[in-house]
Amino acid sequence: MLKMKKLKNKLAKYTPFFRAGMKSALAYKAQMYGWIFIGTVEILFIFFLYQAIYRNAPEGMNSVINGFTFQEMILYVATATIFASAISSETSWNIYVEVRDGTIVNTLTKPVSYRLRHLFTCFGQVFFQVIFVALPLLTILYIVFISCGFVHFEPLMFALNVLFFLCFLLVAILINDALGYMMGMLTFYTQHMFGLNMFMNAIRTFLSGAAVPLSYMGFIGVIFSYLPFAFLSSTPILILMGKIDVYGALIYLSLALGYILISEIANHFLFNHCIKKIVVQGG
Amino acid sequence: MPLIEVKNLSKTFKKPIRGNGLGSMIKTLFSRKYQDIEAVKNISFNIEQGEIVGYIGANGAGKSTTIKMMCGILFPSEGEVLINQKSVLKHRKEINQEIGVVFGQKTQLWWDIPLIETFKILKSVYRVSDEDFEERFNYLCDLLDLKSFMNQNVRSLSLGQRMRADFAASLIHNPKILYLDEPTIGLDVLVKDKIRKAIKELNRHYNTTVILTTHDMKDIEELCSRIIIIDKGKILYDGNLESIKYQFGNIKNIVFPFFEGFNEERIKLFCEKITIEKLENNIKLSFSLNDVDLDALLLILIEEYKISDFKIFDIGIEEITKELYAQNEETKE
Repeated sequence: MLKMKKLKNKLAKYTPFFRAGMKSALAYKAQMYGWIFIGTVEILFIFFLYQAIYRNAPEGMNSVINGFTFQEMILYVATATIFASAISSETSWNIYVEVRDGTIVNTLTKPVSYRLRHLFTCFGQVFFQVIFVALPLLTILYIVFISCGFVHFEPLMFALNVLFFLCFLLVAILINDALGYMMGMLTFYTQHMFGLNMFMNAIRTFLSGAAVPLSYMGFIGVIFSYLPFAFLSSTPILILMGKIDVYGALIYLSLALGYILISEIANHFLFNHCIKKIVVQGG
Repeated sequence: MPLIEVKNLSKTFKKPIRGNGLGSMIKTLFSRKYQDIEAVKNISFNIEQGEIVGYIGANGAGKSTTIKMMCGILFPSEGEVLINQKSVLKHRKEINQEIGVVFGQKTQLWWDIPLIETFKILKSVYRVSDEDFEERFNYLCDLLDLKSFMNQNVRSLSLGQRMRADFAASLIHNPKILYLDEPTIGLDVLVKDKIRKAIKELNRHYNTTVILTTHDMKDIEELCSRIIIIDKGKILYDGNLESIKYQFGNIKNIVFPFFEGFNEERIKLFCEKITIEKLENNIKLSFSLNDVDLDALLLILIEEYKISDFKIFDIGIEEITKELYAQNEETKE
C-alpha cells in the first residue's frame, strides 16, 4: 500500500509533462488539419492503386489476394494510415532539438528521470492524437465498412477484438516511443537527425506492414511479424480486423511486453553511456 | 563546512580535426583524427552558503564548462564536485532539487504554451506545496514584474520578458544554490538592472548562494563580493573583489574630451609607460603611480593642453581582468 502511494507520488511529478505534451500537440492546430489532409490523400492514392491491382487479378474485384479481399485491403490500409499517425511521437525529434540547441542542460538539471519525462510528454501528445483524431476517424471508418457489409461482423467477437486492439494500441505507443528514444540517443553521437529519421521511417514503414501487409511478403513476412516493428501497425490492425484469434493475440501480447522490457533496459544503459559523452552545443 | 566543494576538476574534450577542402573532408569519412582540448585544468575552490561569486573569464576560458560540471550536466575528466558533501553525479536527482540554473542562451520555459503553465509544471516537478508556491510565485512576480505577460505563450515574449521569466522559473522551488550562466546577455540596461536587483534581493531574503558567470563587469561590481577569474582553464585569481582592486589600486585612469592638436608624443615623452586609448570622443590615459608622478602629469594636461574638464578614477574590474590575462601571458612567455 505504502509502495503504491510512493509510486503514485513519483509518477505525479510527470503528469505536467503529460499535460505539456497534450498542449504542445494542441498548439499547432494547422499541423493537425494538414495531417488529416495528407492522410486522406494517402488513403485515396492507395485506394486507386489497389483497385487497379484487384481489377487485374484473375477473379477481378472479388479476388482474395494473400488473405485480403479488396474491401479488407482498403480497410487495412486506411486503419494503418490512421494508426501510424495516432501513435507517432516526437520523442526522437525532441531529444535531437535538446542536443542540437544545448537545451538538454535544462532537462538534466531537473529532479526527474530523462526517460520518464520524454515518455510522459509522448503520452500527452499521443493522447490527444488518439482520443480526438484517431478513434473518431476509426469509428466512422468501421461504421461505414460494417454497415455497407464490406467486412464480416459478429458483435461479441468484434467487441473482444476492439478490447485487444486497445491493449495493442498502448503496446504500439510504448514500442514506438522506446525506438524513438533510442534514435534520439544516437543524436548524442551524430548531432544530426535528418538521415537517421529517413532511415528509421523507411525501416518502420517497411517492417511494420504499414505500406503493404506482411502476408504479401511470404516467409520473410512471417519473420517480420515477430519483430517489434510489426506491433506498430500489422499486429494491432489484424487483431481489430479479426484476422488473429485470441490465442494468437495473447502470444503476441507477451512477446510485445518482452520487447518493451528489453528496449527499456537497453535505453537505460544507453542513456547512462550517452550522458558521459554529452557535449553542450552553443556554449 | 563549505556548501560547494570543487576538487581538482579537469575536463578534456575530444575534437575532430577537420582539414580544408573537399579531399580532406572525404578523408575524414574513412579515418578521423582527434585532438584533445583541455577546457578546464585542475581547478579547486570552495563556496560557502550565502556567497555571491562572480566566475569570470574571456570566451572559451572554461567558465560555462565549469558551471556545467558543477550542475552535474558534464562529466569531469578528473576531479569531482560536492554539494553538501554529496557528489553531484552520484546524487543528481537529489541535488537537482537544491539547485536552480539559468543559462542565458537556453530557455527552460515551455515554448508552445502560456508562461503560467511552465510555473505549474515546475511546481509539480519540484513538488512545491500550494502555500510555498503561492508565496514565492507572488514574490517573484512582483520582484520581476511578470504578471502582465503571465498568460502569453512563451514564444511570443520579448527577450527581456523571457529572461525575467527564466530567472523566476529557476527560483520557484527556492533553491539553495543558483547558477547563472550569463543571465544578462543581450538585455537592455533596464532589464539588466531589474535582474541585478532581483539577485541581490534574493540573496538577502533567502540567503541563496549565487554563482554567476558574465561578461558584463557591472554585474560583477554590483553583485559579487568574491570573484574567481579563469583563463584557459586555469584559475588566475580567487578572492575578494576589494582586495584585487587594492592590489591594482596604484593604477589610475584619466579621461578628458578629445581636442584638435592633442599630441600623443608629448605624453609618451613624459612617460613611456602611459597607455593612451582613444575612446569615442575622449582620450583615456592609464598608468601606474609607481611609474608616473600624477601631479606632474596633471600639470602638463592643465598648463600645456589647457584641459579643465577631466575625470580621474581607479582601475575597474574589466581592466584588472585584462591586466591579469596580460600578466598570465607574460609569465608563459
